[in-house]
Amino acid sequence: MREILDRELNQLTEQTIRMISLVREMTEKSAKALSAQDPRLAQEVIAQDAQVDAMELEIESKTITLVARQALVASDLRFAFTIIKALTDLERAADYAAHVAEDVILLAKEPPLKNYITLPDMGRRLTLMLDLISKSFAERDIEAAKEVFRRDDEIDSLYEEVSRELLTYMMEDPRTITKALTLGRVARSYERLGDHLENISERIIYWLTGKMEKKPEDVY
Amino acid sequence: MEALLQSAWEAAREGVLIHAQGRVAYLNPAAALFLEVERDKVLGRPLLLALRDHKLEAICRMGGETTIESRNRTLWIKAVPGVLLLWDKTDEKNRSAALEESSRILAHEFRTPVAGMLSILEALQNGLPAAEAQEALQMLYQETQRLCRLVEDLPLDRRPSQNRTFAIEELRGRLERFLAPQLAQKSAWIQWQTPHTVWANPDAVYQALLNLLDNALKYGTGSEIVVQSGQNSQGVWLEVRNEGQPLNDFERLFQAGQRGMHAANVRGTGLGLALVRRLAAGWGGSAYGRALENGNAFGLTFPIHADTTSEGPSTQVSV
Repeated sequence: MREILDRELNQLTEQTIRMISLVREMTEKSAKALSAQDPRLAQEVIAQDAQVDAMELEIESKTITLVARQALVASDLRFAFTIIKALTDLERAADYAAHVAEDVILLAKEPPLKNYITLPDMGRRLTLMLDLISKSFAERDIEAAKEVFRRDDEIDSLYEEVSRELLTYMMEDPRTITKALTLGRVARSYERLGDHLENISERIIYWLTGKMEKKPEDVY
Repeated sequence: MEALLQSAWEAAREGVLIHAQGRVAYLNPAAALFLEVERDKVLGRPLLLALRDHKLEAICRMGGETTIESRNRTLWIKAVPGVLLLWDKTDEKNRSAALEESSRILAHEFRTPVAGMLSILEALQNGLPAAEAQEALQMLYQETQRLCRLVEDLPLDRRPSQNRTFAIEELRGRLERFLAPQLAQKSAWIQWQTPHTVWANPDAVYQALLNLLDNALKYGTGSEIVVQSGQNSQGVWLEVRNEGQPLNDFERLFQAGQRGMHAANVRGTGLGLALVRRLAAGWGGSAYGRALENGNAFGLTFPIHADTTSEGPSTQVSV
């Protein structure tokens, strides 16, 4: 009986890792598309969003069935709820990668405001955060999950930096306002994507320790 | 034999992962390093938990070879039934990127002088009075010599032995003649207030000034460009000033690939100021930018040359 349950839990783990990997690919591609101003690559990211949506529904359905059928308890139950909660955050993260891709298509229609360095860097850092989530999930590695918190602080700092810079551009030259607003939206999307990854890490820590751990500034 | 093979794989720089029935049967230390997994945690577990990448999983399933970006590395992978081989190509990719950057820098260093030489050659082809033709030929000769030195000096790190004490004024004639077509095109002129001598490589200072003047002509809005030198307790400074909208992101502009907010419609690579800074570092100085009331100044500094043993007088006012 336990063997069957373990097999089903393993299958859920594998499917969730596939979904994390797909979101990672979308995030990485969105950063590359932004850096290279490549609308074709951006289009690929948008198309992949539908795959993530389908995966979410499939994994959610399997998890609910498993909870109902196997009457899960303790860490198995926490694992199931971690997956259910993580699915929502992953799906939202994919949406934000797709939003960036949509903005890349808009930006690529005109000469760039400048060489984009910090924004693609944010995207690359987010892919590393997704690597850490995948590792913490696959290897039950609490430290990797906690490392995501620290990385999200870096993303928040970069967001502040980019926002300030864009504001300066807009104040200096009103002709840059449209592009700067679009770039601000890209920065915001990446910042929100980072927040969703942080949520997933919190859930993983909860699954592994039974305690809900939040960053000090997130506790109100 | 099997033990020998296993010990060879344990020491190999290439990664190998063996899988059976969808589970990890063996992976060597290199594979664990590339995949960022702990061997004990993934041995005997589902393959995907070690790979954690849907593209890698697909290649394992279907076979073949490809290059992928994973875990912040560039991995070249080959999959045959039951075996995944991994090579870390990150250094190779980084070297290739560095080579590309060098090519871009070289193209930038050569573009401005070659364009100038071309316009002189066109003037010669259209016919010039004998005296002017002689002057044009002399300029072409000097530029060719400079480019030869540039080629010999690759990759841009000039040797200290090429530094000497010289008057900044020495560069004025060559620069003005060389930029004459661009100055005429913009109805612009250069006002020189440069009475100082500096200790540096004259070719490097010429190249740095050429880049700064080229920028002033491209991005400045007024007709007058001022080149002024001065001295303080740290050494000599030399500035190129032009009219235009004052900037505020100077440090960013000195990074390779960065361009000013008003540069979007002007052809350029964003490498010029990064090169100027590298050139200045070569003679022990620095490069900076600052906003003026109605324009911008880009400057170079030259430290006081304290070597009194062989290199002649220290930096001083030449008049």
